[in-house]
This record gives sequence, structure tokens and C-alpha cells, in this order.
Amino acid sequence: MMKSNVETIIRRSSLVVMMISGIISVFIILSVIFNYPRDIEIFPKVTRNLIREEAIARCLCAAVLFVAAFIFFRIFRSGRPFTDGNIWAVRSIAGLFVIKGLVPLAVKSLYSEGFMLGVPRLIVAGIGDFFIAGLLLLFAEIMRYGKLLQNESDETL
Amino acid sequence: MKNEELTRKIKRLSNFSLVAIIIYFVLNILGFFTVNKSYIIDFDDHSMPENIIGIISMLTVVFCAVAGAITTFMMLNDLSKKRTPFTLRISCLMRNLGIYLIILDIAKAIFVYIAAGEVIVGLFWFAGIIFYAFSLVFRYGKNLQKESDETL
Repeated sequence: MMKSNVETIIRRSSLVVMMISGIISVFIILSVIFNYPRDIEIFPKVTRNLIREEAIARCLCAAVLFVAAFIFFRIFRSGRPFTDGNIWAVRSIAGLFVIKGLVPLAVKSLYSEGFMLGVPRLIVAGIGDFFIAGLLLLFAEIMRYGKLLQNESDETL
Repeated sequence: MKNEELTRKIKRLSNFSLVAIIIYFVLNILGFFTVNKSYIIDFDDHSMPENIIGIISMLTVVFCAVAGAITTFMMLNDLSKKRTPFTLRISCLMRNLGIYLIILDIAKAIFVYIAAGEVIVGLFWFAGIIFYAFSLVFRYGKNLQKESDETL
């Protein structure tokens, strides 16, 4: 497939993904705003930590989607995926996933009297999120490599 | 050379991710033993067509999960061994992974609906769309790589 054709497809798909991520992130934020105060009142005190944990995790999820929408907006606008801004955006998503992995632990530590920290607990807390963060860092490096190729291509032309 | 340094870094990270995905996969398999009972189909409570759809969707979930894990494994393996991350094979593997994730989420939603009567839609389908979009980015990278190789 020709480079210009691929660029057109990338632009179109970026527009679709950008819109979906934007809409979902707004929905998630709205669900937190409307549900959190009600849930805190309705459910017994014992489950409040879980509700807080869930609300923070949802906010972080919305933030991830918002940054993703930003990345795809930039790709849609320029048609170029390999830029410094996008690389940093992917890294920031990785950072958000690390925070999301640590959130359950932090909330439990804040609201419980017992000692909640410890290496095994930390590992179990958000192993999936840490794994995704690692994969995203890998993607960021691949994008850096892509940026070098893009620069070479621009200089040649 | 900055190019070679980056390639080495990508290979190292891919190797690390490869080990991580194996550990993650094993942990997920162990997680099956602690499955919530409310999401197990009781065949006596449902009609025959519901049971059949439930079994098909469950098998689809298992197939997509295993296929997705194998595809990820193959992709990371390729990333850690190939000279460049931008190849047609990696782009196709990424596209397949996206498709598996989308099908997995749809099948999971159907299964949970039949088993527990709840409509739960996760974000796997969205991750699938993102992977699909990234596969296009990789195809673009493949063209850049080709240009770079031809220039040299």
C-alpha cells in the first residue's frame, strides 16, 4: 500500500478512536460525579473504601482515555504518529497505569488502621496495570525509533 | 549510532515484556480457580438455545484469550529478535490481537448476560480498537523503514 494511502487510513481511524475515547471518558466522569455521592450514602460504612477505590480508579481510567483521545487527535490533525508530543503522551499513560495499580493499596493504607504496605501486597495490588504500563513504555520506545525514521525520511525528501 | 541504541533498547524491553506476559498468563490461569460462582451457568435454569449460546460464547472467550496470549507472545518474540519493529508480520499480529480483544469482549458480555442476567461491557473492545489503530501506525512505520533501507 502507498504511504499516502496509509496516512489517510491512519487519519480516519484516529478520528474514530479519538471520538470513542472522548465519549467514553466523558461518560465515566459523569458516572463518577452522579454515582459517588449516592453510593457513599446508600452503602454501609464497610464498603466505603471499595467505593472510594472504584471512584479513583474510574477517574484515572477517564484520564487515560482523555490522553489517548489527545494522542489520536494529534495524529488525525498531522497524519504523523511519530512525534515527540505523542511519545510523551504514551509515557504519561504508562505513568497513569502505574498510579492506577498503586491506588487500591494507597486507599487501603489511608483508611485502615492496620499495616497495609509490603512487597507481596504491592505486587498483587495491580500486576495487570504494571504490565500494561511496561508494554506502553515499550510502545513509546518503538515510537521514538519511528521518529528517527520519520526524520530520516523528511531529510531525504 | 542512535538508531542501533534504540533498537537494542526495544529488544531488551521486549524480552522483559515477554517474561512478564508469561507470568501474567500463569497468574490468570491460577485466577480461574477463584471464579465467582454467580457467573457459572446452571444448565437446568436456562432453555436449550440459551445453554447452547452460553457454551459457544464461553468457548469463544477461551479461544480468544488463548489466541490473544499466543499472538502477544509471538509479537513480543518478533520484536525482541527482528532488526526493526516495523514489519508487516508484527503489524498483522497487532491487528489480529485487536480483533481477538473485540470478539472476546462481545462473547464475554453475552456469556455474563446468560449466566447472571447482567449486562457488563468491559473496555477490552476499546483496547482492541486501539490495537487495530496501532497496527496501521506500524504499517506506516514499515513504509518509513523501507524508505530508510533503500536510501542506505
